[in-house]
Amino acid sequence: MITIVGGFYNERCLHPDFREKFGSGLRGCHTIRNLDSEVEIGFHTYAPDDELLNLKIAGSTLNMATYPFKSEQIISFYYDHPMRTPIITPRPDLIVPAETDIVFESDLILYYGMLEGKARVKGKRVVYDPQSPVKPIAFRATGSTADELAVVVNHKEASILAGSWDEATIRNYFFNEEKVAVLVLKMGPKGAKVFNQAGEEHLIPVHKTASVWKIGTGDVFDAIFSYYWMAAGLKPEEAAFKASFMTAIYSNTRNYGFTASKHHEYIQPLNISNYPTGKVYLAGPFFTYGQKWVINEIYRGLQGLGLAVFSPWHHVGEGTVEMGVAEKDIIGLKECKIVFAVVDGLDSGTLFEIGYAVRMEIPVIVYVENETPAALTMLSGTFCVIEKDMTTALYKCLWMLAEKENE
Amino acid sequence: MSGSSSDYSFDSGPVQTSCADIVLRTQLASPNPAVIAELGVGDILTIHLLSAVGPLQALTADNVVAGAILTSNPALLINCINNGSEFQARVLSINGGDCQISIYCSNR
Repeated sequence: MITIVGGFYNERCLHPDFREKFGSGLRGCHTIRNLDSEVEIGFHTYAPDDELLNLKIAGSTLNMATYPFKSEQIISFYYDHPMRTPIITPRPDLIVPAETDIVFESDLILYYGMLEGKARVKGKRVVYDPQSPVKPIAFRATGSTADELAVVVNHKEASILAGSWDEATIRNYFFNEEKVAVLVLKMGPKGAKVFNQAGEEHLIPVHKTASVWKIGTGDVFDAIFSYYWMAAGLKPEEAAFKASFMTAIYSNTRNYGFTASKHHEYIQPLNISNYPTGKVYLAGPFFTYGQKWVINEIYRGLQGLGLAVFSPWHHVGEGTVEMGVAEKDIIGLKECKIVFAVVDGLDSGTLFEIGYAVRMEIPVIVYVENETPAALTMLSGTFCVIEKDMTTALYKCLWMLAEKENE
Repeated sequence: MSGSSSDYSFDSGPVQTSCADIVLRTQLASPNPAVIAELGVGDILTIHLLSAVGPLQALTADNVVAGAILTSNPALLINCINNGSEFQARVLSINGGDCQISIYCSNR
C-alpha cells in the first residue's frame, strides 16, 4: 500500500485552456494508479464540506480509499500560461488554517506539502516534497518521522531550508540535520542530482519532448520516483531516471499513460554539460497592449529558463528611424546565437529580422498560433522551427541553443 | 481601495443555470489506449455513472470504456444524472494520450 498526502485543489490555465481539479496529492494518486492498477492507494487530504463528493468520486475513479480532513475553503491555482507563477486564491496569507494536522502511520508514504495545513506522519519509507518556493517547511519540523527519508526538492526550496545556495551546504544540511537517506535536488531545465548517504552523486538528465506541458510535472516526478524507490525497490538514481523519462511522457501528452512506446521516439535525454550562455534575440511586435504583454511574458519566460535575452523593446525601446532604432536592433541581432520570433500578425519588422537571421545562419524559433501554412511558407522552407504552443517554443529555444553550444 | 488581490476571481468557466446548459471541456482521465487509438475527432461517447459516487465513464457506441471523467466538478454532473439528465461527450482532439472532449447534455 502507498499512502499519499497532499493538496486537492482547483487548477485553471487561461491558455492553453485547462480547468481541472488536481492539486499535488490527487495528481500523485493519478500517477501511481496509472503506473500500477493493482497497488492499494490511500489518499489523505484537506477538503471543505462542499468538495467531499468530488473527493469521493476521485476515490471511486482511481479505485483508492480517501481520508478527508476538514478545511474551510477550496484552494485554486490560476495560471495565465504554464510558464507563469500561479495566482493562488484565497491569497496564501488569507487561507484559513485547518484546525487539525493530518496524522497517520503507514509503511510507504508520499508526502506533498500543503497550503492550508500540515501532516504529521510516521513511515518506514517516506518521500517528502515541501512544495513551497516561498516558505518551505522541513520534514522534521512537521513532527513527522521516517525510518528512511528521501527529500525531493528544487534548488530554491533547498536553499531556503539550508540557508545557502551552495550545493555542499545544502547537502550538509539535508544529510546531517534532516537525516535523509536520499536527496533529489531538482534544477529545472538542468536536470536533477541524486545524492545518497555514501556520498555518491548521480546526474539525472532532463528529456526533450515534442510538446511541453509544464503544470504538474514536479508532482508527477515525485510520484514516479516514490513508486519505483519505495514500492519497486529500485536504487534512488534508477528511480529518478525513470521519473525524469516518464515525466517527459506526461509533459509530452498532458496525460498519465506512461507505457505508450509510440511516444518514446520523441523523447530524448538532454545532457547539458555547459549551460548555454549565448543570447536570445526576441523578435516580435510591441505596438499594442496585447503585443507588449506577450513580448514581456516571453522575455520573462526566457530569463526564467536561465537564458540571456536581447529584446529590442526592453533594451532599445520604442524609438523612431531617426533615433537609430533599426541599426541598434541589427547590432543586437548580430550578437545573438538564436532568435525567438513572435509571428502572429505577420509584422514586417519581425519578418525582416527572421530573414536577416536566416541569412546569418542563426537558428530561428517561430512562435505562431494563428497564421495559415501559406503565410509561413518562407519560414518553414528555411528550416525555422515553427511552434504553436508558447511553452513548447520557449523550451525548444533553450534545447536548441544548448545543443548548438555543446556541439 | 486596499490594493488587496484577495478577491481575485477564479474563473471556473461559463455559469450554468441548469443541467441542460452544462458544457464542460475536459481531458479523458485514465484513457484506454486501445480504445483511444480507434477514436476520431467528432466521435460521440456516452457518459455513464457506475454508482452514486462514481466513477463517471465515457463509453463508445459499443459500450466499451474509453476512459473516466473527472473534470473540475464531477459532482455537478452526477447530481444532474441522478436527477434524470443524460450526457454525451464529443471528441475534440486526440494527441497521443491526451484526448480532449466536450461534455454536454443529451436533452438540450
